[in-house]
Amino acid sequence: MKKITLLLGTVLIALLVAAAASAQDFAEIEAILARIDARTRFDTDFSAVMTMVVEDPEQGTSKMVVRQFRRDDGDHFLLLIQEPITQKGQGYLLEGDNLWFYDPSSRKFAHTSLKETFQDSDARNADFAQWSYSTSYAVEGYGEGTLGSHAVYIIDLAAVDDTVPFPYVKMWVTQQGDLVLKVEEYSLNRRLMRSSLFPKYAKVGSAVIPVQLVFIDELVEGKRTQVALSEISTSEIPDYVFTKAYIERVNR
Amino acid sequence: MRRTICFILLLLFIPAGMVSAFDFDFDDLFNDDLLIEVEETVDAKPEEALLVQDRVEVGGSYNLSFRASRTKVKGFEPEDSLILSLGGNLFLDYRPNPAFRLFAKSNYGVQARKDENLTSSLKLSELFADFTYDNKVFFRGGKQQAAWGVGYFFSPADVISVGRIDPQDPDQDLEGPLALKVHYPKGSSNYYTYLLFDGLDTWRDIAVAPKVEMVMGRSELGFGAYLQRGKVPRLMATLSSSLGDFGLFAEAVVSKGSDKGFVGELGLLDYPIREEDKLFFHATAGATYSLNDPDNLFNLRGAVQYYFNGEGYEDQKVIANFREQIFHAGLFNPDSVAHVAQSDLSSTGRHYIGALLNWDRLLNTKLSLSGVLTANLSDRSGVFRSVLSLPKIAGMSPSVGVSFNYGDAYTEFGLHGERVTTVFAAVTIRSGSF
Repeated sequence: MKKITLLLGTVLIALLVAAAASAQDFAEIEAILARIDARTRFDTDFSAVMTMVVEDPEQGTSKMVVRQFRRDDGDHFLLLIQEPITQKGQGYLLEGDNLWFYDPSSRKFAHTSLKETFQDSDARNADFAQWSYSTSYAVEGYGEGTLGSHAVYIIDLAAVDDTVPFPYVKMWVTQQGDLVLKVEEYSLNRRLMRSSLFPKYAKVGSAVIPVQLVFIDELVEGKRTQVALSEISTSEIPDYVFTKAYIERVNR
Repeated sequence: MRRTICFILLLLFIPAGMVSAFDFDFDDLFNDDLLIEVEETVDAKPEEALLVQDRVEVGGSYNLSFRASRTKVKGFEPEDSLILSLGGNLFLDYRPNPAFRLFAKSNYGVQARKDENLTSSLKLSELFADFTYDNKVFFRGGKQQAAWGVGYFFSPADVISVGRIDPQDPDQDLEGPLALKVHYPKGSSNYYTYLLFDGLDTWRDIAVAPKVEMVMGRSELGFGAYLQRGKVPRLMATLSSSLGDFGLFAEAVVSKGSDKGFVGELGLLDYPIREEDKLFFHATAGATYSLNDPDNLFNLRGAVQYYFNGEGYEDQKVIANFREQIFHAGLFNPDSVAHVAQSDLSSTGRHYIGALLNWDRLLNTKLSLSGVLTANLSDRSGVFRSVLSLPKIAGMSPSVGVSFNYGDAYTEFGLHGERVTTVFAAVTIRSGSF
């Protein structure tokens, strides 16, 4: 009887130690996620021009130019479409939890969601806001591997709130520097929906942001969107930019 | 590094619409240095550059289409129609400095119908000036579109637009008022005051319409009022929000009296009856939803909206009898019904519903199907229209469709009891902007 008790006690202690070790490991990964979120957050204002090339096997290749203004303090962004001319003036204004889409032909603002796709591209509205991996996801597991010439952590995440576009995420993060290189996003039944690649980063002000982005629609072969950032600035943006009035003024 | 710079340069300079292939190896993307240096743009003030743009811009849009239809009215011979139409708009945008702009937009249309003369139209849609006080208070003066409501098919809260939403074509632009808009954004709230000048005899008749929009959580609330001498005062409230994948919207309006002329038991003999002291209440609520099917079998976008119209008739027989009376009276003596306002014959039900369903890429084909229903639930009449969009051929967008009404005689959509069915084939030959 003593032997059985001793054995059970040993197993229990081993399980507790394993659980504690696992929790410790997740804590490290959670710390990486927190650092990722913090590094993509701007202490200053941020503006840039995004050039997007959307490749669609049916529609062909199209180009879109978008002016982005962003202020992470208060969760603001403004996206204004400059090209193509048929969509010029359409805008997205984010204020905290609220995102409005502006249609210049009706001059109406309509509530929309960060989860929606951006125009007909493979990007989502949420891709242009600050990242929130540490708060919107819980770590399910992780491993180690390589991507290209870089040693990476491969992390499995599950969403803990409904603010993110996909409930499950697998991400490749460099072991040195905590840079997210690749993200795979899965539906509720774990079907791969989209892959995102972030092969180039730049230090802008206090933040480190991807300046080359590739979004691949995993459901339509050959459909992908590539984004490049230019005219990057961290100069102060006047408050009036993040208003409905400004969108109305710049429009035709 | 060199490949990255080439990639970014290629993206920046690729012409719009160019068919290109970015056939680089994705596996090679991660073999270079990850961090690159970018030069920050300083002192550019892009927000001001956007406010002046090219200083003067002239542009517009066009839509050239052809439509063939056959309309069948029960008891009559079918009527065929062939229409070639060109429509669109032209605009002038003049921006001498970031604090001022002048904007004008006109809608044009030219129609050629079988066996008829060419008809054309040109209508000023907007003509306004924008100016600002210290980039804190923003003014827009002139003829302008003004969207107050949040409803999709019905918008009783939009008390200032001149035009009304056509529930069968809810995305159509609405004619706006001649007004001075004062807009003061503060934090996430917006404060507006409109001074409205349409149909004035004296300056005392200027209407005043203040409104405030404020954010609460993931919702936006709006409250407004409409006040004009000799007109019915109105209070309105709006709500737009989201719940999961649903977009939600609602409106409520209360007015002391009504601008409509009502009908009593005596029909033409006591028309129009004015209600000046009674409180009228309008309420509407609706939702939008999009379903993106990973297999492209069921890509659906839908909208549905219910509308309670407090100015509608409790007893639908009263207004049906009136329609019948003026129909027969008008046959023999049109002058005897000339004073009847068409607006008094529409929106006569108490309960309405509008619904839209778009089925894009129908069962993973290149077809798209849409259906729009407008129904007066009070008199059980309605209109339905369905369009099947076919694959593009040489840049042209063909479609076929059917529309019909239903309801008893002299109901709102039942006309005089005859079922009107129209089948049509249409092709948008070219459309675009310049």
